[in-house]
Amino acid sequence: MSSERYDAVVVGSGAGGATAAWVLVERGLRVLMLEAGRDYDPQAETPMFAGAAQAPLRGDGTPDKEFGYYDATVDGGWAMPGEPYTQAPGSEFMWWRSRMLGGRTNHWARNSFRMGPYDFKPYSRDGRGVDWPISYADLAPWYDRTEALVGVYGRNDGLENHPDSAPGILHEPPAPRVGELLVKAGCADLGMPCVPARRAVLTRPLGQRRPCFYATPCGRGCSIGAAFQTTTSFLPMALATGRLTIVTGAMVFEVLLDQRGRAAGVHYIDKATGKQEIARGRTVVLAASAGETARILLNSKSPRFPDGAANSSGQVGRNLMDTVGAAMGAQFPALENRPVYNEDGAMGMHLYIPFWLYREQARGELDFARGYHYELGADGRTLPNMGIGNIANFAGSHGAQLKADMRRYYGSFMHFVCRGEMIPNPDSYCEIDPGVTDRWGIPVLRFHFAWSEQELNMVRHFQRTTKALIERLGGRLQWGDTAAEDAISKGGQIIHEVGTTRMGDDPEHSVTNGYGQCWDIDNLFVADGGVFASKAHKNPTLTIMALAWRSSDHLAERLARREL
Amino acid sequence: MSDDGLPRVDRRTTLKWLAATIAASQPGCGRDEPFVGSEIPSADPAAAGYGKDPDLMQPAVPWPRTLNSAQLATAAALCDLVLPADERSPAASELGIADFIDEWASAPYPQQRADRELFLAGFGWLDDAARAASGQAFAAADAGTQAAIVARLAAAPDAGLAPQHEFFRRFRFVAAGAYYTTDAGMRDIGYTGNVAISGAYPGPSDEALAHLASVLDDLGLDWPG
Repeated sequence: MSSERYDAVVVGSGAGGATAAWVLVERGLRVLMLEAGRDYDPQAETPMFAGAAQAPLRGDGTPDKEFGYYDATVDGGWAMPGEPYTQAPGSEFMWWRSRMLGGRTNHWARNSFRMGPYDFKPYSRDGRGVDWPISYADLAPWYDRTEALVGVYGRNDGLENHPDSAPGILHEPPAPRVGELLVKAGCADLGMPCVPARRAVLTRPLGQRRPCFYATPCGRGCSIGAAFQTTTSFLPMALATGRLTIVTGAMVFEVLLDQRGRAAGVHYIDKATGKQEIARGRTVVLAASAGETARILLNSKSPRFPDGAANSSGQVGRNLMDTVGAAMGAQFPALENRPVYNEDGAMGMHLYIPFWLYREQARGELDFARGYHYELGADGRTLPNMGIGNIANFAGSHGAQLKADMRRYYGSFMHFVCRGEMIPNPDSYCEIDPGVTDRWGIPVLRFHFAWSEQELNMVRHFQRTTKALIERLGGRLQWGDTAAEDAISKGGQIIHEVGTTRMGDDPEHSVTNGYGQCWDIDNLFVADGGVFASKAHKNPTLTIMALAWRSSDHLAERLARREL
Repeated sequence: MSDDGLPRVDRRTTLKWLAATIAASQPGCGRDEPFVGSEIPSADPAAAGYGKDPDLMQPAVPWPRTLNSAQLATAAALCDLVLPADERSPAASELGIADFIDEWASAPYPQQRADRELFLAGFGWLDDAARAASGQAFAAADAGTQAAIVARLAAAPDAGLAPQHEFFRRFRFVAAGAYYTTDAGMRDIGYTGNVAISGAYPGPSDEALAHLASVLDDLGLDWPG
């Protein structure tokens, strides 16, 4: 491995890394991709139609498989043997890691919303946080390219700060289900929008990938390639060029620097042998995830960079953000005993509620500065799992009555999920724990995390609005109406952690420029969520990919001009 | 959070129940009936879970079942009182739900360990109550005795039976979860998915849309345009 020098060494095979690798090989460059997890073959390993009854504990989540037995995540989760992370006293942070080829893209919800013009200039709009060094217009062409290759269903609704895609790109969204139509009717009455969601699920063929057949849970992965994951798209496409080499089981722990302080490659542990190895490249692209990339940089200490590589600003690990999460659930008599039809659909949202209060916010009428959207759990008669036992306890009956009640109530519950924007704060960051190392001796991350009143007020607003909506629909609130401090998710729990190597237009206050290029080391790039300067409420994966594409185009052009 | 949007009973809640169980079994609790009686055999301490990377295509339960035959008989009898046979679907025991209770109560994970303690205490209480009423263990008691005992368990948690009621709720959760994830259970409640569709997703049937129109009318809401 140490003999060959690649045009780029890409660390990570998830959303950012796979996009970068595809773009670079497509431009004729030779790329080595290092993935810390194991190889993974969705064609051979996805239990598409497997029944809950065949899985241990009916597939229910356990500390081994937190999201359930059939979840695509293998060798990962909130806790991994021998790979700890720590939390500062008083902080709670949950870090989801997917140590596998394709990373978290194998199981994600596929929700794919573009950030809008306001989202790139939040400081200019409300004086909090920082602006991005790029604007929506700068990224828009790459959103189009990304969506065209990823495949996203949705509709152009022309909504404020929710940009339309270029014509012809979006796939036809699936027809709304009954529960979603009920919510839409309630929203119309309350002056809230309810429109087709955008998800990275094909509804028409795309290359070798087949359109959705509306039958199996996306979180298990999708062997037909309908639900986007890099292991059925960017990675096989890139491999087919013959210019991508993938090494799995390669745990990168340090950026290798040459005598001029430029990146020469990376150091990694070959997990099969436990030995340290070197991979060499003309450029290095870190896309290991916001947490892991910060960890690699902070662990890359040298006389030239005593605080870690690319960290002269002191911002590596800082500005850690996650999406604001909260949820409420209710039962709806209007949905009881209704005619049976197949409600699987695309196994995720068909409709959702985008943020709708920009004018009120601009007029200063709200006590929080940023937006949130609703993800709807209005999919009715979903594939039963152990959670259906809750309906039995809701009914409270037994015997013949319980069996009648189960028929009556199944499909009559809906839940409402808040996904909101967190504003960066000085109490939320990660650093190297001085006293703890992982099984390979690599120092681990210690997380600090705190929400501010901004996020708590947002959750309170969500709770008030949701109660009004449930009431308008004749529903009976079941859960989620707790104090905002309890209702809000734990840091990291929404698995949207970003910001730890933020981009900016000033080397004093940011780690990279608008191309993810490190200010301190010009041939070192970051292509994951670490570069986010703010955390819009829109789910980050689509933006990670669009940014990675734009940055990789820039990297390739600079390499072609021999500027790197 | 469960996929159907209902909150799972978490470990904190279970521990709260156990605390209530223990409190109820202490002397001086007045009229509360004791819940934790005889010694509860613990699950095999050597049992391991399936790990972080189990074979998803060939699922297997690696831990041994640990309920004894009397406990299994009690579980089967209670399952069928919760979910009996009717014209649409068979009794729980015919679908292997008692065996699943054993799989669940023998699993080496925190939630299941907590449930094991609740379940075994509950099975013991059922036998005590049945013997007091009929001289037989619960599984062997006559149908009237069984029905009367379950009716007490299922009733609102008053009359000193709070921990017993919580046992029943948790048992019902697991039994119903197991039952309605079988093919027969899914058929019963009208889950018709998990079938590949070619072409566009058809969406709601005309009948389903007509029903929606009627409930919107009842709610005074316009059809969503």
